[in-house]
Amino acid sequence: MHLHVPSDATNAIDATDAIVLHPAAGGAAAAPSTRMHPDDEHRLVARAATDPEAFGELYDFYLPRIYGFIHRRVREHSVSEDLTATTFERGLAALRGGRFRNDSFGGWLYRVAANAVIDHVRASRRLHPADDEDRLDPAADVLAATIARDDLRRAMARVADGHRRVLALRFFDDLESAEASAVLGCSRRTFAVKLHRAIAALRAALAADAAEVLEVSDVA
Amino acid sequence: MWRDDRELSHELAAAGTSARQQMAADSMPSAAFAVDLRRRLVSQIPPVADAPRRWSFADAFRGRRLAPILAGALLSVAVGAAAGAALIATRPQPTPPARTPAPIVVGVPGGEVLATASPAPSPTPTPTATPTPTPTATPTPTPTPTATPTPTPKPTPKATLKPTPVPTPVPTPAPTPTFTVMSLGATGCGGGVVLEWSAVSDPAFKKYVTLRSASASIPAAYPPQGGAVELTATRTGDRSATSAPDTSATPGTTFFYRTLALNSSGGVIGASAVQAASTAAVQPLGSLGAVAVDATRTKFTWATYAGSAACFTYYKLVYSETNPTPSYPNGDPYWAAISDKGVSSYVVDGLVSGTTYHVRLQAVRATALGPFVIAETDVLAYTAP
Repeated sequence: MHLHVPSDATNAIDATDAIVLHPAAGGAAAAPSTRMHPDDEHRLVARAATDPEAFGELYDFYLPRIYGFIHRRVREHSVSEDLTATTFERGLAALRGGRFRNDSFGGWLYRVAANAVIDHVRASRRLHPADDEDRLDPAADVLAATIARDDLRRAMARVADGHRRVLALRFFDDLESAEASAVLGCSRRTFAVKLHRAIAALRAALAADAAEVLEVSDVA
Repeated sequence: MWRDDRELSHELAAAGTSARQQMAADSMPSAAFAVDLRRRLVSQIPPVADAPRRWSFADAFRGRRLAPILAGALLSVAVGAAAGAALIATRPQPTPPARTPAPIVVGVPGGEVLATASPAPSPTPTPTATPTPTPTATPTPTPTPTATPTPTPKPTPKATLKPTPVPTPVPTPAPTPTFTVMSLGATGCGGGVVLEWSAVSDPAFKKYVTLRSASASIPAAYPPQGGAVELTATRTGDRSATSAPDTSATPGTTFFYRTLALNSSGGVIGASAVQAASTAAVQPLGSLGAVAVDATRTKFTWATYAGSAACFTYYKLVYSETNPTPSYPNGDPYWAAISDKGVSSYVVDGLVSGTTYHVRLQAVRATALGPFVIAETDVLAYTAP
């Protein structure tokens, strides 16, 4: 009764992850991985288009993760089920159509799930279609609302949507850099830059908060 | 105040973990949903040639795969279902245990089954002239003979232990469901057809599906009959999601569409009239221009989309560092969404110097069930200065 979790957590995390994602953890060994071992994932992805067993393994591993990712944002089970089903339908279609080309299937699923959430939010709020997708990801608001420290919560509200989204993906969803960068459609290196900028922006907002200066800097 | 980014990251990680844990108990999919979706997806995978055994419901409970989902209080229910499924699996017939309900035909049996046979939304309010017997198109829900008067009270599969030749002892849901006439619009665009239908308010609603056929005669029946196919991209359990794309139609060919509303047992509770549409190819917009404005900003320019406004929702300036053919519907991100058809440029700020981006402008039609591309430029490989 055990899921497909890599026995050696360090296998799933390269040096970039260790530096970027766990700056205070003292190395990768301290970070429990919730990610499927890339080799296992590649092996399953290669077979999944024609092998129900292989697809089933991917499904069983990612279903609770994708569902949780969506549910943290939409907070309604019927909607979560719909968007989760849409995500996996598209995942299977991509596998079967040979269109899957990214190196992380999990990251791709997160990306599709994030898009489904944004489309849902856009439709349900009848917002302007040109609204920035960073603003439409509800995760940052959910995270900000649960922060206990007043100054940190206020600072989160001040930073730009793009920064808030990066912080939410990293610290709220607890995504690995491969997954978070897939959601944002960038390389790991760019994600590292974005995360660094976001934390710097949050620090700046904290300083501004302390000084009662209401200037928000935006670096998209 | 935190001394450095490291301390701040620690604080954020703690806050995020706390927030996640507060929601953890509520963020798991139900076992019923997990099993149902799994079965639906796996059934779309063609079986391997040397393995004639189809995936069956019992497989879901054999072994370890559903462990995390079934670990909760629903475990006992699952065990009961597994026992039932195992009973079915041991029957000599290789029928998969998935329900195969008899097709439910709406309208006159044997005749043309268009829903328009009944209260079509005709503007003439004189109902006396028509000698139609019943204004509601009460769909005879099951054509099963139901000759056996033995009232098997429960749909327990134990009844199949008896060697009765009846293939499906379907417990007929006795009450006649109400039937809704839905509207449907089908708009042919570059790259796909936009399907838009009216919502149903029937509380028995479970999902919408849209059927497509090369023939104008599409029975309002489910599963589809008469050569019609179900468009999986149009299937949704969201009552308010009333538009969908069909991007699988061959460009230049006219197809016919009909949208149905179904209840939880697959019965048709609503149907639209049949509508026709044909798609064109995705319209090429030529090349994408790029000029660096300054160290961090780049201006992208393109030729505007000149087609129908009904097909246009917005431009997406999509990009990817890893995918050489970025596309918005395929999940690649974008820098800009522009809902004005006449805009022909956009300035992107914050590019990472030295990074190569694959960039493309796409004109997109959005629907409740996903977007599709109606026009696009070539991909530009752009390295930020």
